[in-house]
Amino acid sequence: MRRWGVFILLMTFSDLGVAGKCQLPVSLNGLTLLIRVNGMYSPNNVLADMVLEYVFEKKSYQVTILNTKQSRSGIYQYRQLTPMLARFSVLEGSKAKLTVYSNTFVCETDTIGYTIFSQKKNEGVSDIRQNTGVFIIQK
Amino acid sequence: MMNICIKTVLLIFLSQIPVCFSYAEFKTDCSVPQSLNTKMILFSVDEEYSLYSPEVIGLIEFHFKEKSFINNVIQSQYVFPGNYDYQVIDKDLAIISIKEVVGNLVSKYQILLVCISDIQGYFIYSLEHGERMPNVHRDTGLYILR
Repeated sequence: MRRWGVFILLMTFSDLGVAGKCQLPVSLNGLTLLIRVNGMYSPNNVLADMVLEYVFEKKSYQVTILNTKQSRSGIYQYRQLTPMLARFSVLEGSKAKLTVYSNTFVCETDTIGYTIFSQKKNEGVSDIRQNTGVFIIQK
Repeated sequence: MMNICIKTVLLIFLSQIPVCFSYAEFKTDCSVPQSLNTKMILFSVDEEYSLYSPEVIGLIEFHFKEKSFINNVIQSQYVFPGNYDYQVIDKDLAIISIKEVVGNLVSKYQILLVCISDIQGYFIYSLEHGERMPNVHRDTGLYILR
């Protein structure tokens, strides 16, 4: 109910519904997504300049760091908040060493845009950090 | 929730991923402000130039009142007034929608805030219409509440 309330509010809010005139996917199922992590290295951005490839199924995904060929898998939720704003949130790895994070997307066109990565846990340990990147949606 | 549990039973045996999860598990414990009235926010723009990020100008300070603000580009000392709307979308997520008018020039843009603590986080700046080309672009960076 609260989600519908937010949705109606966003759609009626001036300009927000048509901002940028781009459209994020309604679902990630069957899509491949590339994320290029911001190139400025810092303790908050340990994957600086790396390219991550996400391959999505209905509820699960596999992510590969293309630079190192390391892969991990997890389950995710995806929420399209407005046509141009969406968030996918994941539980990645095994139960004992769970990594928990989300990516918040704002599109530039229907296939590219910017993302904010927000991590809560890394391999079971609290590790709160953020960074940014660009994403490309492939079919 | 039940549907997610059933669908992920197989995954437990394969990868020991938890059976059930709620959206709350993904969220950090921070909150974006409920209102920007009287707040000051410092935006530090990521220094990566690109076609879609042509204005890598460093530090910008916004002083907010109830519906208006003053935007001070610290390096150049340029000051722009404007009006804004502020919408909290989720506990850790908000959008500022801004209209600046300088003479005949109108800039319209939005700033998405995702907090990491109650006083800082990252933002995505989305210009919809500006006085300079390209008229539509995005920037990212860090914001600090002061």
